[in-house]
Amino acid sequence: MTLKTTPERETSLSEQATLASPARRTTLKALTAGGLAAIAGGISLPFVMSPIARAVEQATGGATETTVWNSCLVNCGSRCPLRCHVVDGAIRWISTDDNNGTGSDEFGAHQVRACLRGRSARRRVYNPDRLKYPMKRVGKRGEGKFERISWDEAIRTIGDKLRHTIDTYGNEAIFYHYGSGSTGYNFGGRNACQRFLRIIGGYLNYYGTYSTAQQERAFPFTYGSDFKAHRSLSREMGNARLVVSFGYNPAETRMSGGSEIYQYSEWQQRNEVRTICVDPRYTDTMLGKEDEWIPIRPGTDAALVNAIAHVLITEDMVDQEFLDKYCVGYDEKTLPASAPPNSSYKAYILGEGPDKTVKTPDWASRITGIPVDRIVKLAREIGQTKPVFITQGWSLQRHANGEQATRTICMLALLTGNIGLPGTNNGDEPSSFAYPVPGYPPVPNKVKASIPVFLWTDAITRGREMTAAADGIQGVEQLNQPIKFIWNYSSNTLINQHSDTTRTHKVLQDDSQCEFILVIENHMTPSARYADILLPDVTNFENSDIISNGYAVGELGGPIFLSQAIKPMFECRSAYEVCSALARHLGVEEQFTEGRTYEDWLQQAYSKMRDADPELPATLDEARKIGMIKRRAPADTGIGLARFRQDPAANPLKTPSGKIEIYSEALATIAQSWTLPEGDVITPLPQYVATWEGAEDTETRKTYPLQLFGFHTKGRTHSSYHNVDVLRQAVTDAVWINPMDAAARGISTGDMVRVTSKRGEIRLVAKVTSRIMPGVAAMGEGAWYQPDSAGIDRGGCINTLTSQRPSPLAKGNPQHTNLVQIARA
Amino acid sequence: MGWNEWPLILFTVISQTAVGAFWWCCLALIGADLSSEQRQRLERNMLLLWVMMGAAFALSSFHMGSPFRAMNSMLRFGQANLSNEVVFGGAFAGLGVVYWLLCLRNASSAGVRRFVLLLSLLCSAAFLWNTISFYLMPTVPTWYTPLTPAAFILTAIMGGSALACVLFGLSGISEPWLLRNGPAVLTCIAVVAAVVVTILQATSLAGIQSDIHRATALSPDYGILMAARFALFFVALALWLSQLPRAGALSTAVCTSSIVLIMLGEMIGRGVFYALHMTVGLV
Amino acid sequence: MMTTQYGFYIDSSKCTGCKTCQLACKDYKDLSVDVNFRRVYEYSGGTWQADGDTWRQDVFAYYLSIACNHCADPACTKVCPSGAMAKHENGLVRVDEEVCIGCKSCAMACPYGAPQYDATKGHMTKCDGCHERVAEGKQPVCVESCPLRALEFGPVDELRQKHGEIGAVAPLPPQHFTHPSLVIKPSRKARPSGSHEGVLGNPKEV
Repeated sequence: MTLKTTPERETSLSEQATLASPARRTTLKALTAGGLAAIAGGISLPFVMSPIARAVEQATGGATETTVWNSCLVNCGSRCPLRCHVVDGAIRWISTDDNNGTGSDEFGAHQVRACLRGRSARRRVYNPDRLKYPMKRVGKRGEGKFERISWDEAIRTIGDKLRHTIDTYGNEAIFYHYGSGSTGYNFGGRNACQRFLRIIGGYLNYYGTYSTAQQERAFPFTYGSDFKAHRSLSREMGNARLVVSFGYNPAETRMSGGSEIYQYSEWQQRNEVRTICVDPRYTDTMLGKEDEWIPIRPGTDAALVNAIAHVLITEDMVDQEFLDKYCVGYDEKTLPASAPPNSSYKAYILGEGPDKTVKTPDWASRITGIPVDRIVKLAREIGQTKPVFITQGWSLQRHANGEQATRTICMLALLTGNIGLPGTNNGDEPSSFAYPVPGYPPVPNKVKASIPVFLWTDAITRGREMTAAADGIQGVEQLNQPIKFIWNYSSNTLINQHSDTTRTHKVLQDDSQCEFILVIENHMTPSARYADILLPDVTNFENSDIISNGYAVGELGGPIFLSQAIKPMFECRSAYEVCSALARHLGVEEQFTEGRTYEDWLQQAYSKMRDADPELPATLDEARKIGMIKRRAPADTGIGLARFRQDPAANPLKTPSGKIEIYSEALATIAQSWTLPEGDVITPLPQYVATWEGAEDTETRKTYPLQLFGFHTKGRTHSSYHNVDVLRQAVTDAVWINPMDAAARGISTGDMVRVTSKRGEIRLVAKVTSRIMPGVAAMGEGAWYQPDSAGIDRGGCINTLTSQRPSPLAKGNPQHTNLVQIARA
Repeated sequence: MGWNEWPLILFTVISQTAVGAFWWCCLALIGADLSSEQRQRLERNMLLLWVMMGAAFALSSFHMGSPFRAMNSMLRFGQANLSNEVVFGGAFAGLGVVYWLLCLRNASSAGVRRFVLLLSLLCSAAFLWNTISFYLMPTVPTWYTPLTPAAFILTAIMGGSALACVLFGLSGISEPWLLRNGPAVLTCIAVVAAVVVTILQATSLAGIQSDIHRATALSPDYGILMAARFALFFVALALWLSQLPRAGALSTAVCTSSIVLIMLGEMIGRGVFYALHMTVGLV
Repeated sequence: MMTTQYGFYIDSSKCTGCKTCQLACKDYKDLSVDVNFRRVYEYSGGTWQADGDTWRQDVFAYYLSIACNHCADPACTKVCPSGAMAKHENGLVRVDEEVCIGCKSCAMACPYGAPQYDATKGHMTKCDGCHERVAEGKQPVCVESCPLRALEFGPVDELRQKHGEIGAVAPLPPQHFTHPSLVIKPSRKARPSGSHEGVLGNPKEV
């Protein structure tokens, strides 16, 4: 029996392995007939060989290995170079950056080493879930019943449907769906799709992301629209005497061995920087690297900050001079004229504001779960140490009060004047050095309307009702059309990563509302099941591109040159090819391709890159042999707000006042003019706000007593890589529960449990661990939604539990604000 | 319970039972004054032992991932206990079969046959000892205890005695007292010893733990399983002992019931033994 | 017989338990799903005490990435009946996959979980220290893969000179059992071997 890896073959690696072994056993049994000599010497098993490689070797009598650079393209914030070891057309194994074969690894010009996922990418390419040919839906939408069709039919159907949608409803009814399954593609993937859609008249925009909707909406009010430019690089941690972080967990969110976790770990350990981590969960970022862990109830970080502020103010540790000169609204002195009396930050903390509540450590301790003495000690440490690096992860803004929490953290840096100086940060996440790589020439989107990214299901069901004041619609006052056509490229947000899967399923299943869903994917994901036409995309290993290495890479950036490692598998086609064919069908091919081949685009981009950075290799082909070229953030950059600190008049911020706005007049206006549902609060100051299903929602906690949040599991990037069996084995998907909560429920590690919220029920195993705070549970997000006939999600997707109620200002996803009950299944 | 190790459970209990019964047979053939018919019948009936040994080895191969390479297991004879166990076990059964053939065909002198028998006897002891030694791994604290040899030897005594009783019955041996009633009496003593061993083990488990495992947690049903094991023993003994006061030969049917019950009990005990596997470290 | 004993250094104070070492090895060696030549053990513990509406705790956790320690006095080779499990050049313990009968005795004896039974192959497999790569002057795949630079490989004497003598923290066994060729820089949260203070946090993963 000889195994072949022809494109038609439908076997996975593991299937091939099981196929290979009986064959081998038959041979071995035959040999045993020859007696002991045969047993001892006659058996030859090739070791270190994949079934593919073995088959290949059998067929060719041994083939030579070539190596080709590609990259891991998922949404972790980094893109690690992956060196594909290719034997006769199949990837044999994958290694990673080795600094152009030198093996040198000097910190600062170090190797960008892939994490466990990148090292398992081969099993994502050769995967039983791979889509092989175009298909059309034959059952009810979402049932996952499809029939094979030709590429011609697929292109014709999609093109006609696009034309129909534009003619009937206008381009505003087309929605290019949010998705991050191949983040980083530059000429491939998303950008090719969006270019095509803009050429045919545009599509309904979204703003914000599922990662940072609340932060992106809130921070401009404090630091200006270019707030991302005011973060410090994590190397400034090395210059700090104290790092205080809130929900900052690079070990599980920024795992690349070139990016944040490595740089964080090195700076912190080399310089022995004292580190205090505030988090409900004892994360893999800690493990003894931290000096102290302060467990906190989810969604209450702002209360802790308020209490710290109270200590700083009452014990005279506030940098009054800094606040007077650089900030608006700390006290009455700098409040804008429009502000009512007692609306300053100081008044709010001291209980002189409208809520008449003094934000004492005692007040905060009951909300946060942190003892009073610990809060006071932390406050004094922050107040008496210089410099302090204050930072946060994205987790605490992904809450129902996320806009408030994320701005609140900045108060610690502002109150103590730890801004714009070596060893400081403005309270935001650390910055990332971005090496620019040119892309397609921009094509403007003729559709002006933009929805908050999280509200697309609402835009399907009640699009015409959605307004600027009630739903955060931008560009227009009100939407003209509901969404009728979804273009879903490499995205699992269609069901899996959006909140409340049960509701999403109902919305999508009704094909009289959204009339057409196009999904372009590598694998049969939960979202792919909702396609009307499902197209098989090539993986990036079957494609080429020039990309930048990420958006969370610390100080080490640079371009990565992706080359095609293997030929497209099955009938897969790249997004660029698909869009070219559609453009041809709709008569806009010339505008789309500009007469270029895909390779022409890359060559043109490279020559532009060479113009800007002449030290790059002479030709693209030379660069492709190197894989990734390193560029370090210049030494005189990386301290957020440094120029503003030096001369605020000459370097005003892009806020209305040009200063840091603790009190935001713009927010005060929004607070007055917007229509908000009951319980939602927008305030000009960064405040603590108790929310629905938060720590203080005692009413809901009677039925659903545990706070549940999702974290980034090491075994996936969001939902990408979920279908890689070795990663499922390596990282058990489990809900973390404290031993005290587990004992009360008779739950042990490994028990199957049911987790229920107001929205739904999931099943997964429990991990009983002291690493999670009592009253709190946590689980990895991104597991694939797999409802049974009763609607119980056997796949353990956290979004079967999360709510579609948006946050007040950003209308963002509050996916960490959940109350649940857990019981043995 | 360590049922996942069922091939080893069956192998050790069956082979140890065969060894114990063989010892009784040797006593009868060498030490007792049997009639030639009794002797001949016993010699022929001993085929059961070799069938059992063959079955035990065959079953043990299910434990192996590559049974067709089974012969490789002897490559470290003289160095590894498992190799020694296989070699001596094979020699024990092989010599037993030679003895059986010699007797069947009346092929050689009594002296030669006796020599073969004694050689087989030596191999049986070496086989049992190497089985025991294999499990005395310093890195496995639940096995690395005198209770392991005690347990294995008691299997040979209890199972072997009951099986011998069946063989004697089939061979028409109802005298002398030692061969008729001795096995039952010895089994009674052995069961008492097994009770003691079990109490000692239950006590010692509480003191065995690594940073990961507690021995007491490895077999949470230890008490119930041991109770079941001894219940089987007591029923077997009750049936068996009820035969002793009666005149003449013991009922073969009753003795067969006893051996089945005792072997079942020992399989439970052996299952617990494998379930108690842990190391001083991560496993 | 042997010239130099090679071994691993693991810096548990840097290790984030990411398992890149485990998966890089798995990819390079093309291992089955349930076989891990390198395993990452999570050891955690500590207690919580309520203090009014607040909590106090002394929680700890850390990871240990363990492959084969290529022990100076291996437990696996002693019990191996076929001789398939044996020490080779550089003191590396390897299993001859053409001889091994798959009796799993080595797995019973090894206190580190190094010998891994591969059901699809029918015999034992294990970390061979990437001896072929080492012979070419390269590092084992796991060492080169570590995103935190927490792994090293080399003559164990040199590793001990550079990093000290610690070769055991909980939940590893005391070194006297097998004399592992392992050097550890413990996490600040590490507990001594035999202290019984924590639990294995990830039993399904190792």
